[in-house]
Amino acid sequence: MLSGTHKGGIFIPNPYPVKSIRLYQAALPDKVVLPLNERMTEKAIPCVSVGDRVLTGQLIADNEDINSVPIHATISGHVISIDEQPIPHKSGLNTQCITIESDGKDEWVEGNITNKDFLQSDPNSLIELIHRAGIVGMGGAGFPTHLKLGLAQNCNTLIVNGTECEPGIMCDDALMQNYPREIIRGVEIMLHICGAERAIIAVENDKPEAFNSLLLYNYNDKISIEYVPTKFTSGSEKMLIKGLLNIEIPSGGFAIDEGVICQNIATVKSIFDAVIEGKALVSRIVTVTGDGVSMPSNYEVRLGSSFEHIVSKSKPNNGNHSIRMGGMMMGIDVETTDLPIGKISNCIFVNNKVQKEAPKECIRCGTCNQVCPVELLPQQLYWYSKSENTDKAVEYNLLDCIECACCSYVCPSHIPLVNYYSFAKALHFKKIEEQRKTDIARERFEYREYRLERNKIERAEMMEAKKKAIKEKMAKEKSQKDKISAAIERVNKNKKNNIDA
Amino acid sequence: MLDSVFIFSSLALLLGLILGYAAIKFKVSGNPLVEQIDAILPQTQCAQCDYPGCRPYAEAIASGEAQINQCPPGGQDGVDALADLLNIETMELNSEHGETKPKRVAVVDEEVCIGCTLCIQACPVDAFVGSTKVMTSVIADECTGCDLCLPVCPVDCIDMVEVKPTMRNFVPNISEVVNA
Amino acid sequence: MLNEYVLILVSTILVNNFVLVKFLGLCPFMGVSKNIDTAIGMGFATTFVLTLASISSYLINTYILIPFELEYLRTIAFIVAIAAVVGFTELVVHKTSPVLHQSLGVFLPLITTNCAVLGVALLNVGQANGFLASGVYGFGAAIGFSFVLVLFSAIRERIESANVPTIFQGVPIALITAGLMSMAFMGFIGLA
Repeated sequence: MLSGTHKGGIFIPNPYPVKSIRLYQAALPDKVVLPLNERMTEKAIPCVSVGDRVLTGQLIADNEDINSVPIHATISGHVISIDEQPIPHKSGLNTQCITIESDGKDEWVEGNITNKDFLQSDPNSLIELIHRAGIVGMGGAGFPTHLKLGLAQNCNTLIVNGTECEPGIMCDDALMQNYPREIIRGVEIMLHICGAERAIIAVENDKPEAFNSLLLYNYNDKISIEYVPTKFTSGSEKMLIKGLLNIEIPSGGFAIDEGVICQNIATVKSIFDAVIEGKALVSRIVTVTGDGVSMPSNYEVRLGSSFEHIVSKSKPNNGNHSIRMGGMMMGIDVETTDLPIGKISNCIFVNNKVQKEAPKECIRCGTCNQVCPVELLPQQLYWYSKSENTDKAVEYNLLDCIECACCSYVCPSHIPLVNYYSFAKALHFKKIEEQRKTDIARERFEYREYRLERNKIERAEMMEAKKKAIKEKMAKEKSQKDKISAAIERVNKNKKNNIDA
Repeated sequence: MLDSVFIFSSLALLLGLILGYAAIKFKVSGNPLVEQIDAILPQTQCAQCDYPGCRPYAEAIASGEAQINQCPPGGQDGVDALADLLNIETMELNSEHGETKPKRVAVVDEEVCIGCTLCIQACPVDAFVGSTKVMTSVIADECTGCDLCLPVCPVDCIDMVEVKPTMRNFVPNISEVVNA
Repeated sequence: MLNEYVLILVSTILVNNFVLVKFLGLCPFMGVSKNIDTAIGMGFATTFVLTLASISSYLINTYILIPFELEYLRTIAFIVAIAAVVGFTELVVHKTSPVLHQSLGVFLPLITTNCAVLGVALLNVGQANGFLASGVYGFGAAIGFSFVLVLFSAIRERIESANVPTIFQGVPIALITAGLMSMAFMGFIGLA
């Protein structure tokens, strides 16, 4: 059954359709590069050193901060370095990573807790298990899953996001066709953890094989599988909730306030792996597609393998390629395929290099206003971001922009609108941070002035008190001297009187 | 004619009395303008503007003694913000007072420090931690990069190190935005 | 009866708008319209001044100038009254909102010499309005002024971020915009 949909968004046809979805198990990589922090987590501290031997699934970096997840080794082998490596990020900066060289054996670590009888377990212990397994949202945001589940107090609906983020990606489709049993079980585990009354698995309406595959394995009344229209941005959490349940999450609000939890379907499968099989998050399915490869397919690959490891298997043609991680709309362009696959890398586009259209002037046509799924005014945001007027841009709800790039896609002048918005957001946060530091500096300076002043006053008072004490002492001494001289005079007088007498 | 003079004078007198009464009743003390100017200044307290701190410079601007373009740490953005506040035309930063440098923090060379505490006394925001004959260190988060500790150090062991942007707070240049 | 006042309001706000049709009060119109918040503040200040000035000039005219046959002192008397009202307004604004006082700057005392204010006072006399009609006339004129001022400042704020050719940046493009708005307001002719 077709559900409703949100306003805005664009129907984009799949640019690289395939006849059937293929999923391959990628071979073990020679080495893996594991970053110590990705997107939303704090940097973890390594608990192994260079030269140590580690096993698959072994804990190699941890952080006391509950807002982060631990990092696990994804192959067995030796740690060869802990240093700065390039990772796929739009700033192009490096970050601290642990590099492990494989010994080819893929020995798993022993003794992980499993919870096959999860219905008898306390939800908090399951959440802790998920935390220790290092699971984050695998749809692209990378938000630590245990935090999201931990906030689930009054949850009534669980939504499992089986819609692909963007056209051309097929990793969730491949997952649903190949692991339906694990997914349904994983949904049941999540239902038990958050105490929801029902779960809805959302599937795009151009993927009947995935839909049927899940339907075959679903025997639970609480779980229903629904189609959503194949429109871009229906995969975004707030848009999906609007489409399926017709509930609008307000700006600055969270889905959990309305009693809804949304999880990506790959995250659900990882939860199954962690709870039932005791395996930490060490692999994911990645799509490789584009017109630069003749065999677009999906690979189940260990995290930390380089892009090249799977791109080479898709038969890339000879020629200059432009590589993009993520989708065609929200992905980031990277220079080389020598970058590690992270927990949130869902797709690699390998396209023949084409000349990008040069942007022209804005003609104020307003088409961007019509397609924004968050119902913002991209044209106004563009003008304010361009003139660096972040106050006005924030007034026009710049911070609610999900950077989906629908506006850039439809712009007839080929203006890269989303780049302006992420620039304005970064500038806004930088200004706020600077203002905070300035206020602190002012406080410290004023306190210092007060302290010096107070020291001066205290010293003056102390000098006053000392002077008084000395004066008193002198006065006392003077009175003593007077007494003594008076006594001597008396004695002398007496003596004189005695002699006279 | 005399009666017109009389009427007019009494009208003027009446209005003058009303205004006088209003002036007393609506008296405003202090100068809030100085607070607003001080809120825009970067609080480096470096004295590059030729005034002994940010607040004296704010007072000088409010009284019209100083121009708004004498603060290098505030940069051209600071000058523009001041011009906006005071409703006057913006002007270029006066390079006689120095250049706008990227954010830097002081770092003490631990081998060389002799524990003389001169830098602790010089710092306007108390960003040094140390004592006599004990090694002194800088609290990097509190250091504003004002350079006032450099000239007082007798062994010249303080370096100003540029703060590098991290993945979290990286802001591209506006000219690179189109090509990103 | 009510009709008469509604007619005065429509006439002063739209048809014979003081700024765009009669071209009075252009000084604050151009000078204060860079920022919407300042413009709104100026609108309030001018409304206050205009209504009070309108009423007080009517009173001065009816009870002092005409009985004592001092019509030749009309201009001076009105200016004294307006200056007093503006002085009073300045004190009130400085006390209640120092920020607004700072952003209006010199344009607040310049309301005294704003030809719209003196114009309203004199036109009232010319049309021989009654007491209430004078008040409504002054109020309507002020509302028209504020309305156009806020519209204009909204447009100017948008123009500031736009790609204006260098020789037109700042005041020239603002004057062209004001001219276009004036042409638009010509469309109200015949409404009242």
